[in-house]
Amino acid sequence: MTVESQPSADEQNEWLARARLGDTRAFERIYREHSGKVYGLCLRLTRDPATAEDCTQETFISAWRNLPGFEGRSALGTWLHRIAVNAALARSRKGSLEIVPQPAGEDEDTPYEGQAADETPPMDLEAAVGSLPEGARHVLVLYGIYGYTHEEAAGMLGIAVGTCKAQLHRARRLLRERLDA
Amino acid sequence: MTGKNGHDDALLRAVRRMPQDIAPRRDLWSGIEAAITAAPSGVASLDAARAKKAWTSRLSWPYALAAGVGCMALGALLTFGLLRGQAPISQQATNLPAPTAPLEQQAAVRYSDANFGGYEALGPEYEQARAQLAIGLAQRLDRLPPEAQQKVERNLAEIRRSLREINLALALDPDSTLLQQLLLSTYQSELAMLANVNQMAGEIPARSET
Repeated sequence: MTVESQPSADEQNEWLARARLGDTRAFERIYREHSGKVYGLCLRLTRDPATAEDCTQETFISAWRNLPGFEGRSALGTWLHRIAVNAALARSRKGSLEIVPQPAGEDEDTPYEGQAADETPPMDLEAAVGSLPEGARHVLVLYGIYGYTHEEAAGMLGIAVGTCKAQLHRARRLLRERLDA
Repeated sequence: MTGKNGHDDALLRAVRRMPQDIAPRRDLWSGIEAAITAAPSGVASLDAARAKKAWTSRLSWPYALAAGVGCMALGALLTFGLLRGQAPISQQATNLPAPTAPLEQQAAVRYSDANFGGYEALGPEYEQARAQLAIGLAQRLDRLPPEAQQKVERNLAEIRRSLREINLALALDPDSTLLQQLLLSTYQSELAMLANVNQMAGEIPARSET
């Protein structure tokens, strides 16, 4: 993914305003700006690249259709993530999702600008996160990687805040065990 | 703080440093653009009517639909099995010369990349209808009785499994006319199912709106 300079809030607001008026080019700018995070979120929630692609497309199509209802109370990215989580959960909740092992290195070969040197090899950590049970993984992804609070993550996942905290505790324990193994 | 808690903190810090952005394997914009071009932002209704067919009764439609689609999926799989022999395609693939690209990538070929010969062309309208209907299905599925939901989900998963397997076979044998026909009819089955479920679920009042 080509990472360009970060658009300003004014620029993003302008894209949003134009997209609301039906400007697909402006919406494409929004897509280009947010697709990496949305896809990353979907991929980590579903663990299947093809399903994550479908969820990403559904997210942006749904966002387009619901743009007039977006009042800007939350950040656009947060709103998109909320739609993406719904799309991913809708697939996995009903048990229709077929987990397809992710080919090694398929999605990790794209460098991420700003990624800090880490004492934990990213591939190992990514694989360990991917190996977590669904509930624990969902919480860890939202809370740990995407930086949402327990309240926000719980709201997105439709679970109680206490459950969210318990799942995070479980995720950390399992992750530690798997990385130490 | 030392010991386990310190380790946990370091672990969480490492998790927080994981990249949020991951690039999709392909550009997804074209599919999104095709869908939204036909649907101005804010339009609430889906354009399901374009693809719908009325071949189930309203009385017991969830079950008739599920059974019908299941039969289609099973038929596709059986035909596929007859065409390719008894062994699962994934096993057959291991016995064939290594393709130039990973099989999973080849199997991911979409209708737009597949050659359907002279039988029928599926254009952007298909992609557009499919994307819209998939959204509609996700939004409306919870209006169905739980048992019907499960059947629809199971049968949809079965169709998509068939699609993956046929695409995998086509990656190995791209000139197979029968496989191309089978792929086409399976895509059409998926679209028909999406359209019917959307239409029928749309006639049931929503239990709650988000």
